[in-house]
Amino acid sequence: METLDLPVIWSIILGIAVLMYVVLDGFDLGIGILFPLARTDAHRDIMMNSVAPVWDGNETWLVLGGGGLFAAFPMAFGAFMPAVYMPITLMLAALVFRGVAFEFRFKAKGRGRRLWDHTFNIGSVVAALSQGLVLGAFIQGTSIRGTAFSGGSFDWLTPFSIMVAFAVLVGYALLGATWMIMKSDGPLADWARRWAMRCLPAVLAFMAAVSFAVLLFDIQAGQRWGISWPTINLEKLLPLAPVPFAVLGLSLWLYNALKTKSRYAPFFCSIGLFVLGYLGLAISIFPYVVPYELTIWKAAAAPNSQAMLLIGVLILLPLILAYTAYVYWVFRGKADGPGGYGHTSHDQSPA
Amino acid sequence: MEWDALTLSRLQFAFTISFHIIFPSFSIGLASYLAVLEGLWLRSGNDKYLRLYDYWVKIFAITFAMGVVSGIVMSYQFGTNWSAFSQATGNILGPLLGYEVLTAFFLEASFLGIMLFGRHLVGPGLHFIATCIVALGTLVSAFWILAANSWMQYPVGYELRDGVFYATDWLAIIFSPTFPYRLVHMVIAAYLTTAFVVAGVAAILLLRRRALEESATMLKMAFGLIAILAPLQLVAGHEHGLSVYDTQPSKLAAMEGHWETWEGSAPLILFAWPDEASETNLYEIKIPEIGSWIVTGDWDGAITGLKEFAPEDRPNVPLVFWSFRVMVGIGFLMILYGLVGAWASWTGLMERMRTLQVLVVPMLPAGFIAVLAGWITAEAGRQPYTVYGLLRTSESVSPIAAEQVAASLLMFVAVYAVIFPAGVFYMGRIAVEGPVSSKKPARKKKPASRKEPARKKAPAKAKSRKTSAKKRTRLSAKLASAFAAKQQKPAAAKSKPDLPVLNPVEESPAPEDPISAVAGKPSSQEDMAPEDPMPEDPMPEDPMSEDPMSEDPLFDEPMPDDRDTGPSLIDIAEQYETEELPDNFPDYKREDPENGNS
Ligand code: HDD
Ligand code: HEM
Ligand code: HEM
Repeated sequence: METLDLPVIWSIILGIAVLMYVVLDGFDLGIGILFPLARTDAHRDIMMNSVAPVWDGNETWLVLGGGGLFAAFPMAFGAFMPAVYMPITLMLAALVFRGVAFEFRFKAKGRGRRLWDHTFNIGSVVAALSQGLVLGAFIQGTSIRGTAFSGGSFDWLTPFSIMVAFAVLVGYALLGATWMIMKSDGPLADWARRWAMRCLPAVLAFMAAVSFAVLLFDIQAGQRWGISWPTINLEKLLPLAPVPFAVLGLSLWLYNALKTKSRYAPFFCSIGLFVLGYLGLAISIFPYVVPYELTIWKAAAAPNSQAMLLIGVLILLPLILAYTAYVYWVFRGKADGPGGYGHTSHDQSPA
Repeated sequence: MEWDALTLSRLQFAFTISFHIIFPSFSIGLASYLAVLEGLWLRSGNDKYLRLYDYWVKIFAITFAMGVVSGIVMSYQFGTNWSAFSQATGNILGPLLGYEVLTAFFLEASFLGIMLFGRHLVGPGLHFIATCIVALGTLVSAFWILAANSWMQYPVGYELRDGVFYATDWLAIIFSPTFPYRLVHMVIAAYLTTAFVVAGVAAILLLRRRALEESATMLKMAFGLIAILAPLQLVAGHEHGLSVYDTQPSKLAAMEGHWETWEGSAPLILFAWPDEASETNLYEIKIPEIGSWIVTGDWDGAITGLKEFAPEDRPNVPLVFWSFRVMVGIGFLMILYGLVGAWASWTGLMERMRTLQVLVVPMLPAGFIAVLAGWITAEAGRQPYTVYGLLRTSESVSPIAAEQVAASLLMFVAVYAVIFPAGVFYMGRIAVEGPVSSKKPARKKKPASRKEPARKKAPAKAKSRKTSAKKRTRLSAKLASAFAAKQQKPAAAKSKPDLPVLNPVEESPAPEDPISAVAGKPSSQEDMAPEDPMPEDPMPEDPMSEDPMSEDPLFDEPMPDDRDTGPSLIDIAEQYETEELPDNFPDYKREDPENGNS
């Protein structure tokens, strides 16, 4: 392992884990965000059913993200988590509510069911917003002394992080809407298409706004792009310019796919948008794990610890991806037809 | 007590982990129980086991979900509240927890979907495998988390430099000296916990004269297991105690309530109130001489007293002392119940004697209490260290403001105070309803066929589905008799009487292209005229059905506040599925009121 740069490998693995989380849990959080906007209860049933078999697996990527950070970059885990204590706690509480709502809703009768509908929705919204706050706090940087957090309790709360929070919210909503296009037919799919259409410009606007804010607030990330207001370093900017253009191109494609009522393209275009945004972020941040304070080399676990878990990842991650794909394949197809998946013995009590 | 970030974080950790462990203790045991039930069903073809499976899997879904969400809370707390601890131990604990995610959590979470929702999509054999994988996942998860915990209890295979632990020997770290005992003890604890829940629920059902056949089976299985495991747990716990003697003298002294050091022939203190101020036991009840032998395995074994440790290096003595006794007390009670219960349920006495049934019910939560007491012994006994002898709890905490922790603690208390009663309520309601009994005509359950109209557009494709359905038939060939009856009769004919009359389309036999009929109409409520006839209560003969809203249109826009558990879609779905059931498909779910079951 001498010649391998373990911290770089680990930052790529963690990057993949977090991206998997954002995309996968993104669409089921998105379902929760759009939940109250659905036209009928039957639509809500279908929406819920379309993610019920997979949400748990999706959320496990969050555990891998956190656990992976703990294992590969313990210094970063210990430095950053206290900095975002409140949004993380809020996210955890929201995920608790949201997670149990899946089960409780199926079992509840009458008023209770209504209650868990709201819980599912509010939990999803709060989880998405708090993830956005964490992301915002991450991008704007953290006060650190040595390897310990040294800032205040509310450092994470800034106009910038609030903006990122809403960006994440609409982003997830877009993913959720396009997922529903793929998973349903008829009026529900039309409804989802309308909402995707509404989310798309919002997502683009937020992407632009966040990028602009990075410059406005003079956040260090901007320098990576050769922009340190008001000077622009074209040498740095030009090689990276394809990223924003790809975003534009993909958005057009998505728009067109929505217009032509394409079934799969919208979802995969939305994922593409997320991947690009993520890539842009990676360019801005690398090689920091706690931006502008701890680099991946400084925060890395001991090489033998990183190597120990890397062996497991190399063997098990492909396996995990394979059986995750298998599970999605088992539950392929539309969720709304009779006989579509989701209605099982377990969601109908025999009473 | 000072309400600083340290104290509050300890409270929060203790509260959230205690909440969390309740669910693993149950889901580890229940997952294995479900695997056994499904295996028995596949082997014997006796539908009783399937009914039990379907019954417990609903409860499993709830406990598992609550375990997952409370577990995610745990893993992030290492960073938010114990950042100094994380930075010091990350090299060692990080990979262990990482392996837990990779080898256990993904397995559980992914195959859970198939287990809960996939019965009709993958066929019985694969479904059984999914159940087994989930059960295995829970055990593997226990393996890694207990490896991590055991290392904290007795660290080995490390090197400490500048306050950071570095691994020197991974095998030693994973299989640390106390780990085998803890793993065995915990897994048995989970099985015992589950067995007492199963027994308690069966007793309640018998008392309510429900599901007699299934309840008797549950009692036999549960008490059979308890009769074997409860005595084993005593042995395992005793061996575990010997390992504590070897590794954590201050904890052992607190568990046993010894303030003074004994060079041998120590008494066994049964009950007392250890008084920390005066460093003596008040109201002591003891058996002389035998303490050394029980605790060390040697009549002359020495026991170090608490006074050898400075007061700030001692755990909270009464807490450790008493929680240990609660656990051991329940352990002995379990042995008693195991012997009597196994005898009574296998001779059939339990089914007849209501007194016995009444006696079983209060033991339902016993396992949970013992598990919590056991963990409090282990964890509070480890104090004031997080890594025994090396890293103090006070040096583990994050540099955060106490107010934040107070807020988050209050929030977790509030959140859990809502979802715990709700979860218990839903589980309880499912539990008292009992498995769908063979004795009464049941509501139509899911037909066994995998039918996705969306994928059946092409007739050719439909054909291929049928062949694969045939293949599956072979898998459960043992059930041939059960569905032979069905083959003679079109499924639709049988199911008609129970089904809501919702839409003329449904009357037509197996539409070639159901998607057009279905997607266009019943599932798209917007198109549905409000005067559409609403389906009647799908199971009017069911005494449990008390839904006052059964007269309501299912699909009206503002949700009627007390709409029943979504019969809407499900019923339509059932109707269609029933219509086009391939007639050779193993109909392992359906109750057949006319032919009786199997
Ligand atoms: C002996 C068993 C045991 C113990 C001591 C713990 N857990 Fe646990 N945990 C499980 C046994 C388990 C399980 C059986 O694997 C669960 C419970 C129910 C479930 O869904 O999986 C689980 C779920 C679970 C999850 C969610 C997994 C998922 O996404 O599917 C996380 C993140 C944790 N746990 C983390 C922890 C942490 C950080 C613990 C200690 C501080 C801890 N668990 C103690
Ligand atoms: C699952 C059952 C468990 C229960 C019921 C439990 C219970 C507790 C309790 C009551 C405390 C507080 C002790 C005190 O402050 O006096 C504690 C502390 C702690 N436990 Fe556990 N524990 C469990 C498992 C684990 C596991 C598996 C780990 C790690 C892998 C762990 C890590 C810790 C840590 C880091 C602390 C330090 C915080 C503190 O001292 O309050 N625990 N636990
Ligand atoms: C029958 C007599 C029993 C004895 C002698 C016994 C012994 C012990 C001992 C010595 C410990 C402390 C280990 C430590 O401090 O690290 C322990 C812990 C524990 N016990 Fe027991 N036990 C018994 C019964 C039970 C029962 C019936 C249950 C649950 C159903 C149970 C569940 C636990 C748990 C969950 C722990 C904490 C985890 C661990 O350290 O293993 N025990 N037990």
